Amino acid sequence: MRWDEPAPREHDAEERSWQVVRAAWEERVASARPSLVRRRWPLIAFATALAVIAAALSPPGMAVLGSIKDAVRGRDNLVSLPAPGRILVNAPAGAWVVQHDGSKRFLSNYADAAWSPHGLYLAAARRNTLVALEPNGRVHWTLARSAPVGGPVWSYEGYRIAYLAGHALRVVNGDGTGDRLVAPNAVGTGLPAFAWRPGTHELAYKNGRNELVLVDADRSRVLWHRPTTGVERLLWSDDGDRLLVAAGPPVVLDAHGRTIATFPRRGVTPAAFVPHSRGLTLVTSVNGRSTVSVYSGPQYARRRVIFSGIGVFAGLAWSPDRRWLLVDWTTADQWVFIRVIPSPRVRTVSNISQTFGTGPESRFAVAGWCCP
Amino acid sequence: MAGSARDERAWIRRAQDGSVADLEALFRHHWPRAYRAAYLVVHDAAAAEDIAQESFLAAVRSLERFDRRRPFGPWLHRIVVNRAIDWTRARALRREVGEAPLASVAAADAPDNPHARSLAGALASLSPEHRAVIVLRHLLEYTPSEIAELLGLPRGTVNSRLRRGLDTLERMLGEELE
Repeated sequence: MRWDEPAPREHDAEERSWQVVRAAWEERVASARPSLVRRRWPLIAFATALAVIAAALSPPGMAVLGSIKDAVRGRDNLVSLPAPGRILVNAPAGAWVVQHDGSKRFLSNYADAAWSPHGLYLAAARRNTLVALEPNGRVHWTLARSAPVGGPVWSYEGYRIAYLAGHALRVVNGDGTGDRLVAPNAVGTGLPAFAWRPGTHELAYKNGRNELVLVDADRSRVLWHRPTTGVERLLWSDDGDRLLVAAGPPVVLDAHGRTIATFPRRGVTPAAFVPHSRGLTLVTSVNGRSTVSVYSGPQYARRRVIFSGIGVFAGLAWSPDRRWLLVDWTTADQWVFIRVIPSPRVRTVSNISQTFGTGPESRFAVAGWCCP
Repeated sequence: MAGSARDERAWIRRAQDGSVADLEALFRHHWPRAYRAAYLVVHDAAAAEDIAQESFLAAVRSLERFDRRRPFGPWLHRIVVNRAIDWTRARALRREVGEAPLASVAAADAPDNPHARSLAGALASLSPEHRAVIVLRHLLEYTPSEIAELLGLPRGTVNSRLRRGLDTLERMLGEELE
């Protein structure tokens, strides 16, 4: 038996890896070279100290200091994302923005944060206030309501935000003006559910009578409605022609509310349309095992199993380039990044709850992977 | 590429001074064994690439502080093998399906020689801990004492894992290990 034979793909892997290592090395060398920064160090250090003090006294600065403090408390294994873009995470203490290089910003005391379409802004809830802010924590506008605010969602181009205030579903313009009521009772039994149809200002929502409604939010006109049961989540495909009604059993509708496909009644929780496609990613759970599959075809009859594991998958998010799928594997306390194209590959990040300062009793939620 | 201890110290010194050519010499010298070690423990080419690549990245990040009097190889191999064991344990907890594309990728790059194929197959029957000591001993040619130090294990544990692993391999391959 010989040990000196090349392993499969050894040479290809060597070339690819050398390019990566070389790039990392050149980046380090460039940052270590004597530069204008080094020669002017005393002046820059003084100016930086002033800026840090000023920033720390501002509300966003307080949030950043909080994030640094929290980050150093626990071990953080999330050192980079495998694809360009930024991931938004909602944790009980606030929202986290994870950059491609693994750096993170904690936005303290915000709930239900959501990306604007191009990732320039977030909409988030702070008790009775809806807040539009930049990912660095700078607040653009706030809108106070008389009831607790929750679940803001941006329309496709960022001109509208739908959100809940108490039991009411409301819509406000992206600049904080023109707030109006869409439905006084959009929260019945179960979870509220609403979603903007891409390319339009049409809003699908479940009302308090357990009806599924599509309304033109600008004209306050109901386009269609149909009875439904137990809706937990609504999701549109990017082309606005398919609507997933995550209920028991989950159903895919066309834009007119007609049923396209019905899935078996199983514990379906996370779901996501594949970006720029009508393909649907679903997690199903059977006998304690969760499976992520992509369903495709006119009636979603084709199923491709992507990943399976014991326990609970609490969240899914596609990378903006749709090459990677993030699976939040709660039971293993791991984020599993699965490269779907060009060739399958898996990267895991363990102890993920420590990264976001949560534990078994309080969990975070992946709110989206946005925008390079 | 020669690769004596003196060469290695020179590569590291000049790489610390910013020479990409010397970093490349260091990388090219150590890549084959780092990758093979990872592959023989994890039996997955993509994972082996990730493990070896990330181990080199970790080395690059720390190279400025690296003590040139120490050999580079054992330090790198410790990272590679421990990561490979962790990966294999984690994989045992999950089951990756959608195997059709995974299998097709693996099949396209299957090892050409029967020795490598049979060796990889026989190693796959061992636990990751046993694979690791076999790979450290026979691929990377460390002594049992050095393996014990690398993996943080008692010497007796290394010896017993070696013996048990080699017995299994010999049974499966029907030949003596070189």
